Amino acid sequence: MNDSSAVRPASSPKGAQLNLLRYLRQLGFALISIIVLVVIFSLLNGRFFSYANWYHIAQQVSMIALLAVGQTFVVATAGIDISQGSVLALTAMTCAILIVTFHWPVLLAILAALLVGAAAGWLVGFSIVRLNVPPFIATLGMLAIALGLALLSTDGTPIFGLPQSFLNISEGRFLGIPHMAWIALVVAVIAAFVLNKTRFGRYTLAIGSNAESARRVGINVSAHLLWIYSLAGVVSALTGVVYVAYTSAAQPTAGNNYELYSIAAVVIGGGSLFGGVGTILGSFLGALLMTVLKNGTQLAGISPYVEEVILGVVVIGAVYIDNLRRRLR
Amino acid sequence: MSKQMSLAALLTALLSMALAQSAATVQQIPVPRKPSKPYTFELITKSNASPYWLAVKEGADAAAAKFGVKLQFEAPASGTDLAAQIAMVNNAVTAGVTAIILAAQNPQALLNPVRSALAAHIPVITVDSGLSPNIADSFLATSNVGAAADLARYAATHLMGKSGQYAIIDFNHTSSTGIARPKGFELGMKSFSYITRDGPVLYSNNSISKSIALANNLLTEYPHLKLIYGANDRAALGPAEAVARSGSKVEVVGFDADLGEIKYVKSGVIKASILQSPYDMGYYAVLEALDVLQGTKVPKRIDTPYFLLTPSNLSTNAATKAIQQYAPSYKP
Repeated sequence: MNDSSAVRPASSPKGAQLNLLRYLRQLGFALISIIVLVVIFSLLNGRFFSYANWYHIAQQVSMIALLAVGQTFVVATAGIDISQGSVLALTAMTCAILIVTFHWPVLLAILAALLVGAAAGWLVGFSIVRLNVPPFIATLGMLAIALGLALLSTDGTPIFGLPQSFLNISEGRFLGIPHMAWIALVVAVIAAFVLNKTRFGRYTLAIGSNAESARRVGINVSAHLLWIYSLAGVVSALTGVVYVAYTSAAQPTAGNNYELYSIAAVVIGGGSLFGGVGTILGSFLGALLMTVLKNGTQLAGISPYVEEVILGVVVIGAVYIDNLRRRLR
Repeated sequence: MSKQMSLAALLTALLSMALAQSAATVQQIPVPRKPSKPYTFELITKSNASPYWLAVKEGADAAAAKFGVKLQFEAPASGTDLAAQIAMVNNAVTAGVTAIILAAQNPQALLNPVRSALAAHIPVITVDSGLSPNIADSFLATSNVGAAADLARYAATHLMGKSGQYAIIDFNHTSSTGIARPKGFELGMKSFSYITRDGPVLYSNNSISKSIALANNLLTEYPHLKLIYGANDRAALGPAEAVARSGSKVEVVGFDADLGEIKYVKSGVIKASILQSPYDMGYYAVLEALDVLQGTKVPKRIDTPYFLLTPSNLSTNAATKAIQQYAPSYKP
């Protein structure tokens, strides 16, 4: 896993080639699984491999992929964020209330929602670094707080009547790809750059590998974690905005359990819950694998109960193969 | 204020009368021919593990088997995962199924996916929970307002002695049924001026444990409470459990009949429950989809029958038939 660990060898043409090879091997499981699934589903239903279907797959993968980006950073620090689903709900409500009830301009309302997400993430980070609460508990608390606030905001009722300009976030397309998928793509590309090519990314992985050594070499671990959780909150908020556009409604129960999907995506993509490892591309492929599985089983007329079982097997299988590969090396 | 209230009540009454008049009965659905081509229908319900939706599925399966249609079943794991249900309708359209039978999680959010189905010449029949506006080819459901009002009138006269307080536990306020059932109940209670509601309408989010907790809180908070109304199976099971465990004298009335509820009707904890026709909804939805595909005109709105189950009529044939709508293998 040299590619994603904190210490990188000086790059030489040969080293780069080796890195590329390692990179491909790390993504192997998700990539091969996706290709296999695509072939099987295409054989089972000719329409699987149509533009219309991949348009829908692109829409469906966006939300889980966005959450997986945030989750990758958190998991890379050996943390976990189980508050994503309810932060999504809270920010979805915030955005919809500002637009529908208070007639804010769409962009301003989205900005406010992102700020709410940042605040939620910052609070989680604060509980972790200042109050010494473990990430699981800190985000468990935020899960309840954000869900409660989302329900309180309208006393539980959903909000409708969003303007078309807002709904275009999901329905509009650019170069044949839905806007919401562009959002996920752009965020993922930026995140991949940050994680792989910047000091911020190297620090993130270093903290996950060994927080104590990171501190000793002079990384301000607390400040860094605050940043990471705040940014993860912003990404959850962005997912909330996309969710509202996709469902043309904001409801306080939106995003329920979505954190589990994003954690699964990260793990399928080669991330380790012990930290120090993880790539954005891997997590993105993990999200895509789950979406293709859901979509394809439905098109093939396979029972949704069977699909759940397959998903579980895939998650465990992914980690098993990852462990195997590490031992072989 | 009372003048305004009565005007509103009058309008609602007129509206429900108008709705009742425009709705047809299941007997008015033309019986379709057996299709000559292989048809694939997709049934998409609100969630995939509730006995109620499985009863709808059994009815649809029976009709599909009778007419040689392949029926596929799909539903989100949770009744509130709107994005998942939207994705499922979109996927069914790309899959190129012949018809879609849908119980909409939300009356507005499913409009666009259903529009794209109709644009692809895939008939859409909604069951139980419809769309607003009703753009589907047909909508089969209980008249939820009417049934809940009937239940309220029964509860007021037979269980509350026309006076006292009641409370409502609803299951959600995002779906058309979740909105209509408390509304109908209050409409029925309005004719009894000595009856009032305690507290706001509470929401169990389809969780039995949440419903039990809400009911326990109600029993503590309102010592003079006479009756709790649970607006679906899980919302009614909560107060039934709470009352049975605490030995409280509060009456429980509800909707639906899973086996847990039947047990409580037998033991007299649940004093009345509206039994809908989930099996018939699934069955006739398949017939209607075939009708539409064969160019036969179907009624836009169909009221499926309901039955008021009480401990005293539990052993009648009519009650057995009504319970079999939920559990086809049920024997008294």
